[in-house]
Amino acid sequence: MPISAAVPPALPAEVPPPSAGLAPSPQAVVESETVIAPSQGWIGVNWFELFRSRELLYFLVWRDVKVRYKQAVLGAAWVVLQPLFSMVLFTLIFGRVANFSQKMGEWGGVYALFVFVAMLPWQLVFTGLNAGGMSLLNQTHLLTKIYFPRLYVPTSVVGGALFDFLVSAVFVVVLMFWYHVPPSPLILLMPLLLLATVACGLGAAYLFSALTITYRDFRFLIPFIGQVWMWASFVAFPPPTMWGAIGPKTRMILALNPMYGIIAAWRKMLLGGAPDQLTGWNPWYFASSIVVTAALFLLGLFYFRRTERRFADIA
Amino acid sequence: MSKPIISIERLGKAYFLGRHIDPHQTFRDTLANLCKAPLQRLRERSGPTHQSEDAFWALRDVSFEVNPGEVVGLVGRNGAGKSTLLKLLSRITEPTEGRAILRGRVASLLEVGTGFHPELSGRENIFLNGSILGMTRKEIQKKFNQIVAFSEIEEFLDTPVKRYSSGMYVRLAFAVAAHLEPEILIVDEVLAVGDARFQKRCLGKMQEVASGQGRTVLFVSHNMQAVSTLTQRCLLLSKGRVAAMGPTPDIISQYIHEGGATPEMIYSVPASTERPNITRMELRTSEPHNVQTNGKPLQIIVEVSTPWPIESARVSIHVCSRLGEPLVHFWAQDSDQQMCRKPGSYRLVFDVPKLRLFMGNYTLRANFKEYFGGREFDAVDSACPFEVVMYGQEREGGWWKGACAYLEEGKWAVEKVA
Repeated sequence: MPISAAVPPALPAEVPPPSAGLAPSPQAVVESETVIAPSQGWIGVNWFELFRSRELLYFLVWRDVKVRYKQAVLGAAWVVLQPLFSMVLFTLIFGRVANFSQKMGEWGGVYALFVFVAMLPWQLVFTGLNAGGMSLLNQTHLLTKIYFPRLYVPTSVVGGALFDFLVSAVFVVVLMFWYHVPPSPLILLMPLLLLATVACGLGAAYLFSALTITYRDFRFLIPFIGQVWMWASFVAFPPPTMWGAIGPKTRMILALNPMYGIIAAWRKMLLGGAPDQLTGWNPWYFASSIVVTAALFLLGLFYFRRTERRFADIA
Repeated sequence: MSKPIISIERLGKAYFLGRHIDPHQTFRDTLANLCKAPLQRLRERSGPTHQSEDAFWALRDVSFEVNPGEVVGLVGRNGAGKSTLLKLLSRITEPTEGRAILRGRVASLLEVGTGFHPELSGRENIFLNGSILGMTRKEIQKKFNQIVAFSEIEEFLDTPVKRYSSGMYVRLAFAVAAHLEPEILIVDEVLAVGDARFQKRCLGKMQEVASGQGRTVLFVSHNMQAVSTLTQRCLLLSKGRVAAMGPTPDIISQYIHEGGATPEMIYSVPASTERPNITRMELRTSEPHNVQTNGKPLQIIVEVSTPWPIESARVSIHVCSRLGEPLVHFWAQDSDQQMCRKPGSYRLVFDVPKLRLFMGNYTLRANFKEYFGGREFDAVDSACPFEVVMYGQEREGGWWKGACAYLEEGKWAVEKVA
């Protein structure tokens, strides 16, 4: 009889494995039927599936947050330091050189806070556009090896950005105490405003991640789009309402940029005493921002779903 | 249950070369195409034209059914469409035509360690990977200890996996995957990783999953031993179509015989007039196309030619492993068998009554020289690649590639001594 160097594990087929944990899980009893067939055109969102695998979203966000600050000496402090650095930079450039700090004081606002409050929603949406837009391309090894709701890839990036948002929000509260700026009573509407901000970030993440994986040009376009978008959202300097008359072109930009109304609303909400002119608040622009945000979210979502079936082939 | 758990009807997947899979498709190209051929685009939109010339069908007209609890092997040469079929059934990519119905929870394992993040610790990766594979947090928590025990990495549980050895990494990755509990498990060549000892444990675990727990498994492997150990029924794919489906032994032998002869299986060069040379090397294996069953006879045929008389010719042959390491040596020399004393061609046949080489891939190396004086006339390396299979030889638990180089004959005597 031949002898070999190795002995295989003798596994009696009939005897069930000893460990109790290997018994079929309760989910296994429920019969679920999956039909795999070609799909065409615009397809809906499988909300049931998204809900069922919601834990995966949690793990993806958790991974994102955890990995981001690993091996960084300052760790999660970077969440606050990043917008803080931008704020300091803007304060130095615009506050000092363009003398906004002084003007802002005359107008009844604090420039540093004015910038930081805008940085908060802007960072979230910009992360959605930038990191979210690149997310599918960075995860191609997952896309080609396993199935899971693909929508969770860009969603998890925005989830990580939301975590950063909440941490930075604590810092905003500190700044508000420091400068003695009370919030306006509108703060009760904050959850709704946050929802609109997240929807805008998600819309950008869905649309640009699907575009980037299909047309690699967007890798190079996204940073540029981000810059233009930031200036058009008046994150770093006072909105055009401060400059007197607004031409029809500027009006179009303000109405069509979803972030203009959203940032103005954040400012109005958190910088209680500041005049509407300074915050840029205008109910019509805000309403139009909400409509454009909803449109961006839906367009992103459905364009993503439409291209999703080809991700593994083109990744 | 009478209903098949997997029903596949005329499933097909086409890749549109130059369009859909071009990784460098740019926005500009799309705009240009849109302007160039609006009519063509309209036609396409009205319905996919499958007769499209640039379509490459990776898989077509595949229909079969699998019953609950069955373990089905998927075999075929490289490029036969095995991976495409698995990708379709795992829902990674969408079919172009046909459909498949899977009645149960599906888990697919096309790779071990999908989604592992190098910066995260072993513990964190168990949760992340488990969740990506479709386990709930509760399930992972419940099996956590089993997973850790199976992977044997207890001490390094809180070390980032980027500091793991590749063996540890694979062990942990497989351990998570092995504790999945789907009704349908789709497994690609995941056993081809890790060391021999771990491969054995993985295969053992697979066997346990397949036979002990009544799961339906679809299993792809190039390792015929693993396929014949694990499966009762097999599907043979060839050029994207189903070539055969039936009991595993029949399909495996068809698979072995299907492969075409490749030119390099026979070494052949013209006789030289300037120096003695090896003109031909050829194997007569027990199966066609240089496939040899362990324990069966093998013939090695070598032809040499010499333009002048040689005093003490010697032809020596090595059987080498895939790494080029010589494993077996045999030779023919003038002092035993007179040869090459006159100019001309000579045929030497070496008969191995019972080849004891273990399963694996081997090649021949030969040289032709003069014993006195040691002049080397000719040398041939990596000729006549052949594969040794253990097919038809049963052993409890199957065979493991790389377990040894060859099998010795002998007899055991066991007695109780205390």
